[in-house]
Amino acid sequence: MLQLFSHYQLEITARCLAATVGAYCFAIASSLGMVPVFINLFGSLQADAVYFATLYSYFFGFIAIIWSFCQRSALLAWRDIVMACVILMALHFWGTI
Amino acid sequence: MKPDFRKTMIWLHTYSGLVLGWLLLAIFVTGTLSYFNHEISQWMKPELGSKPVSSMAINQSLQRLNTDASGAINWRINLATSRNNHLKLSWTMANKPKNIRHSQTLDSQSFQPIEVRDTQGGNFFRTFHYTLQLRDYGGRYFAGIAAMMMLVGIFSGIFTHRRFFRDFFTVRLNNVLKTLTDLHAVVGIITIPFCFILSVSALFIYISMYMPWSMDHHYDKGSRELNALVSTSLPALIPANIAAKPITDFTVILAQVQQQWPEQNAIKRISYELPFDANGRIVVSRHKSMSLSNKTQVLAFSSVDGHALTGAESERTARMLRRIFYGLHEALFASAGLRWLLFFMGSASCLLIASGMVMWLNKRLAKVKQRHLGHYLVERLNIAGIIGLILAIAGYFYANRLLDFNLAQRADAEISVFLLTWLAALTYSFIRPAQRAWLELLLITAIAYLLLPFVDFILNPQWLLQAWQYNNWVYLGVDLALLTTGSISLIFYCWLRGRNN
Repeated sequence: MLQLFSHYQLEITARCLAATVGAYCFAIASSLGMVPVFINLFGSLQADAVYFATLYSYFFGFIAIIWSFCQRSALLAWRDIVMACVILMALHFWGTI
Repeated sequence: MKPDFRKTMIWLHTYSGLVLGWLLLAIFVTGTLSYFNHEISQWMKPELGSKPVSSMAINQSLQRLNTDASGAINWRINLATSRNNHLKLSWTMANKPKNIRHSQTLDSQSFQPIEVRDTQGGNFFRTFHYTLQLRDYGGRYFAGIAAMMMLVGIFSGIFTHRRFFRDFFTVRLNNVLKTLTDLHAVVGIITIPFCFILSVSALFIYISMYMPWSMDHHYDKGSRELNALVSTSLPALIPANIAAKPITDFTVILAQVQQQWPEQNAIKRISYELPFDANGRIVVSRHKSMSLSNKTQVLAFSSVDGHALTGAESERTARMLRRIFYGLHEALFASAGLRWLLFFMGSASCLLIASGMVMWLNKRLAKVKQRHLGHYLVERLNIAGIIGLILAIAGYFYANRLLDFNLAQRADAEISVFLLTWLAALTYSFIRPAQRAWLELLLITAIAYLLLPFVDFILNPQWLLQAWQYNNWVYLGVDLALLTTGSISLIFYCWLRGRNN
């Protein structure tokens, strides 16, 4: 692999994947994870919380797109996105308990 | 890659623009035309005529429904507006296994049924700008991706400027590429809020398609169940199964409506639900000109004696937020002046995207000695994507006028002409040298747009003469817009030819 593709090409590919697949997964995680936040912090009804979390998920996805190109390396970008996803999914499961 | 934030943003702006530029341009051009959806439809259905709609329209329509649609389970009257004088009646007859729908277009003064050519009119541009004519093949997902890409383009574009304010006041005219760069910067700054609102609202409109995960997880029936929880509507109608006669003199109800909605011509649509039942209901829908939200405001009355019934409650905030973004996107609230302003903002955005695509190519062609396949492809797709699209729209208008009135599936044939013209322009751009293809297609486009009003006049002089006689500025305006488009293409052609010589 490393002989076939230059370091630059691998970096770009990994960043583009982070900005598409990674960012979309992050948006999904936020649309789930923000629901308990809205319910507990702002006292929303569940329907409102789901609606708002879905609307706001685009914002999270957008941040992830920018972040995947701004982070020092593609690997670090992926690390951050995965960590943020884990935190949001933890929030989601905490909400379902 | 470089860690510098600004350089990263420049790189991102350059390549995110390249990947979806043509798609975005097609969406923005057709979307901008959709601001004049009703006006274009009026022009494309010249049989409607230009006579002003008489104030008798509602009662005359009700009389006609009472005779033609006796025993129907619903009646509907779509009233003519200042933007489109299409008076349309429709009704549904109960039938097993499937109810039968009828519809009729009435002349605006004699109230006799008239035959109108089968066309999608301006509505084609509206549906094309989000389905890309690929509704069943994921067209709306492509449009959503393009909207997200536009947001990335706006964000990274802002950081591409080193001197945000000085760039705005700089126009260098001595070099074409520099003029283009400065134009791109100026137009870019002007259209930031416009493009931002349009892209965000586009994403909000289809949350149930783009982001269904949370609602699917929390509700068994997904978005449908969630929408039912946050939206409100009129209570369900329970038939009394006692025969009754509907009101056919609307003045009683009109007086009540005017108390609630004081503006002129407030009513867009009148529906009778179960008109021949003692529990029948009249639902009056308001024009969206008085509200940012895309929620249609309604009033309900009994169809037997006309007393007011309970209406719908107001919706939950989350739903209203999305409704308002939806309303901002559709801009049905806009009066004529504001509509033109939005149209110019849309045109400026098209200019922004097109100039960006041309810049990308020219900056690279100026640097490289040996062109590769990518340059060649971008060059040709620029021609087809920019001028080919404008020409295809002209092709659509010509098809509307020249195709046979009684052709089977006429509306689909018009759209086929649009797509084929576009394909022809693409083919043409590949077989001619790039400079020649630009010039020749520009000239063809200019001639096509300039001739169109005359073709329209030769086919039936009555359409234009009547529009002139009754001051139908919708019809005349479309003709003027066609002439303006043709003139701009011609000026651009002359300028480009002079530069090449």
